Amino acid sequence: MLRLGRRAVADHETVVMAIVNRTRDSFYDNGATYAEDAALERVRTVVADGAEMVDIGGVKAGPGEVVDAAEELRRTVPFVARVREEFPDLVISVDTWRSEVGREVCAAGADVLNDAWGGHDPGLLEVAAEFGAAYVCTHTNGATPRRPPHRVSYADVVRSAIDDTVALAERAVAAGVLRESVLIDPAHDFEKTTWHSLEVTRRLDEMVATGWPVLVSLSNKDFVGETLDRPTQERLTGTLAATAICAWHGARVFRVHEVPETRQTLDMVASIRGVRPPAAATRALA
Amino acid sequence: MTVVSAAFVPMTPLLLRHLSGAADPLADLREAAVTAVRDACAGAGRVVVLCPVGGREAPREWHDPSAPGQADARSLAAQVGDHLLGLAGVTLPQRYVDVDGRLPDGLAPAADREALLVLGDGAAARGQGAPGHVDERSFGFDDHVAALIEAGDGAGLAAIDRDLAGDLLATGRLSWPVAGTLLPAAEGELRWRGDPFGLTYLVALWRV
Repeated sequence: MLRLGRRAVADHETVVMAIVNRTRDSFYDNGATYAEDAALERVRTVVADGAEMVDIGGVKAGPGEVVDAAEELRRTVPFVARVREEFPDLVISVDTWRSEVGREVCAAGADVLNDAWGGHDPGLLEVAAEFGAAYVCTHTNGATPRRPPHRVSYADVVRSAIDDTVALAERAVAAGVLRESVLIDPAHDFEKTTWHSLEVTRRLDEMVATGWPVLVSLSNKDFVGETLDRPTQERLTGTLAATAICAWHGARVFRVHEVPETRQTLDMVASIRGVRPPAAATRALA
Repeated sequence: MTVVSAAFVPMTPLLLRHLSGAADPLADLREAAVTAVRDACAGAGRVVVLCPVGGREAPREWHDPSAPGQADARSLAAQVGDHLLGLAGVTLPQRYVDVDGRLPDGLAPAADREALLVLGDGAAARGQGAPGHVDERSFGFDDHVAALIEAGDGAGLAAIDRDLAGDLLATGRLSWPVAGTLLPAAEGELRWRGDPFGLTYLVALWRV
């Protein structure tokens, strides 16, 4: 059983987590949902498209505009409250590394703290524990938030991802986060070359075998673009291929830009696996 | 040491041909680097490879990400230097020395005429996608270093601002002062300079 705040997720289910950026400069949407009304419209769309969960972010992952805690709070807290009011059952995640932001968004109704910089602020998991929120443990190899990777090297990148995220998961549980509400994320592209992200995808079953539910964030990332030599806006096909592989290996939560395409991919994999009946199977059965 | 020549080359992993996949964005840089290595070694009896080690930009242990499980975990600089020497067809005796900006012990005088292979890069903060993002000081720093290298000014290289160079993630701060101390004056030839990924690469040949 995986518990994401107000929602329990059965063992065979996968969850689509739609990205909702309240940023001016994120790499894919370039500020399209920076305005609060545009962001709310995005939430309405992704929910209608089948997303069970949204991931609200106020700071671009890469280098760019400086966003201090006060500005991040301004971007996220009232918006979380608006989304919660309109969608009482939607799982709301917030992508932040700051505990002071985590505290306020949880008070406003967030269910999940997506600690995308891997425990950089050790207070964040304590906030998750205090509010009964789920917590995502991300592998960033100790990187400083928003710093681009450079000449990164691992003797075994999957071993490193497992060791770091499982250690963080155990710290979260020790701090009081519910064991069924802790997820691990290998963090494609974060402190990784494309070769590393491909290997993490190839061997994702090893992360799944830890028993911790695995979240993957693959959507339109550079490892897809570099592998297929495609610019940012032409990476959906590659993203869905990686999505299918991760789903087959047992990933549970998928952080994405394109919701309907991802949902179809996950449904297809689930039916191939045999845990979801086809939607309408009459061929050669009449 | 009796140093008679030096080749200055970058230490980017992309000099290893296979790492960029099907594309080869640094083919001309690699060719210039290999030629400089070959020219520096012609007439020498031994080659000393100065390998920057320090910080994430110059890792002491580096594992090829395209070859999981490979045993080679030498420094990135040593692996790049080894690769270039191989491409250049150099069969001289080779000695690899880790350097951190200061002249290391044990570079004892030798009877052989020695060539230096000096690995190191310029500033890595010259653009939005650069490892160090944008630091405007990069441009003046790289211009200064390029002028010193072109002029064969070893004394000048020995005196570069290493704190600034560290801020700019310039791995040359770890090797250039050592080369400059060993070879205070030379005839310099700057053969390649560019920053295709927001990080300056230089290729140069020094002869005494």
